[in-house]
Amino acid sequence: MKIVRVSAIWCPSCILMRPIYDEIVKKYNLESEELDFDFDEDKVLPLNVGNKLPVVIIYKDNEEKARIIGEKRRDEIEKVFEGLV
Amino acid sequence: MKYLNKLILILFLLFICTNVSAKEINIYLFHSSDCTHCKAEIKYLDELKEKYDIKIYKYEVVHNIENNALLTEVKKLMNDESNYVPYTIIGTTSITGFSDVQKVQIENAIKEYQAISYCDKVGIYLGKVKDTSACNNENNKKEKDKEDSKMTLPIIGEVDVKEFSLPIISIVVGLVDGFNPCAMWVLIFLLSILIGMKNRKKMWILGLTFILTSAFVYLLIMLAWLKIVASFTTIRWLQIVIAIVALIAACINLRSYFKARKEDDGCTVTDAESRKKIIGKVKRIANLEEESENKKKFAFILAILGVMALAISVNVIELACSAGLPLIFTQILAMNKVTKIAKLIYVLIYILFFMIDDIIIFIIAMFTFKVTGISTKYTKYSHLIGGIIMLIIGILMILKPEWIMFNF
Repeated sequence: MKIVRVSAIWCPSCILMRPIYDEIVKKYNLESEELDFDFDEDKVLPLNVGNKLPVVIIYKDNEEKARIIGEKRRDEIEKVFEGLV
Repeated sequence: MKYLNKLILILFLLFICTNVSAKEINIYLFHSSDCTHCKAEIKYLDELKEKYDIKIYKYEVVHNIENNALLTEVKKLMNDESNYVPYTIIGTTSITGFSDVQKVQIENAIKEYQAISYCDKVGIYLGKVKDTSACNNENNKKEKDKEDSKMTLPIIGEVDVKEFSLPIISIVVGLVDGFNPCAMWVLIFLLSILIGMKNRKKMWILGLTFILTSAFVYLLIMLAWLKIVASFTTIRWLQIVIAIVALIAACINLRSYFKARKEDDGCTVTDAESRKKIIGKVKRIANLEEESENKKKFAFILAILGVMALAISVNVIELACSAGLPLIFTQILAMNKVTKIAKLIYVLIYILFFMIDDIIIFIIAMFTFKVTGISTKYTKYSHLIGGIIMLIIGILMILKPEWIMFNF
């Protein structure tokens, strides 16, 4: 399973969520790609992430399965992954 | 016979009404015989004599030493520090200078004092008013107010709420104003870039430059607001205009709170153009740092100037983001009779608490080399609290302005 994490260097919510997602990646042994909203504009645009950050897109067998938008509690995030693993 | 009774009753009522409103109002004018504004005011006051029942006492202060001494004492009495003439006192209102604005202030003051009983303390001091009953009532009321405003708090003991009101408002409104997200993202972005430098001394200098410049720019903006508001503070309709601005700002804040409640918490990406411009500026500042060895000093000075320019532009943009709260705060300051020094101190307290979240994030970043973020939940609640504060103060400014005059 792979996740794409879209955040921005200036975004406080992204800073808050970073450690949580780092642990999730370790826990579920995920492949993780990080994109910056401003500096990786060419890769981010096609993803249509909207105007709220951070955004985490979850892919399974190269197909998008779910998106997690903004600040979430750890248990809320784990519930999403439990459903996909 | 019936009509005669009615006629007598009407005349009697008319007599009472006119009697009530026909009270003579004393006006004390300190002027200089060489001053054109003073002459213009004297002419204006003479015209007002036909319209209102007023008595004008004039004191020429440049060529008459005694009058000059009187002026000094009267200014102390009125807690005023302005050094200009003409200097006009009506009741407990003092008006400095003379132009269209002051014309309105003078007429408003005459109407105001005709309708109320008031303590003409300057008249008593100058020996023009014998009856001091109004002052005694006012003093008793002040004593009672003083008693009423006293509270006994656990541990702290007895506290005079009136003494505490302005500082508390400076802290609360400053904190709420500081929590809006407009400039926060720039500081976080700058810190993230600075951390990449791995040079703590330069990080301190550039980071402090950004914070101090932001504070200085915001200080200038607030002093400008205070100057504007202070010169119109006695004009009632302008107070109401400011109150309406506050109510509109309150609605905007409350709307963004209720809107944000339905959305996910997180960073809202807005205004890509201006954000890109700022990001570009910060990157150029960071790139300056990678200059060759011999240009290092010059590059670092350019980096400091760059950070200052960044702080100025961000804070001017932020003005629109939070104009409501500073405007209201300066209006409250202007309505309270506090000295200029006291006003400056309250503005500095406001700015300290306005910057406190930036200072905390900066200090944590400097010591941990990690940038911490503040959840947007709190910025959401700052819209709620800010909205409620502006709503209450806006309504009070219209219905009960005296409730926010703590120092009268």
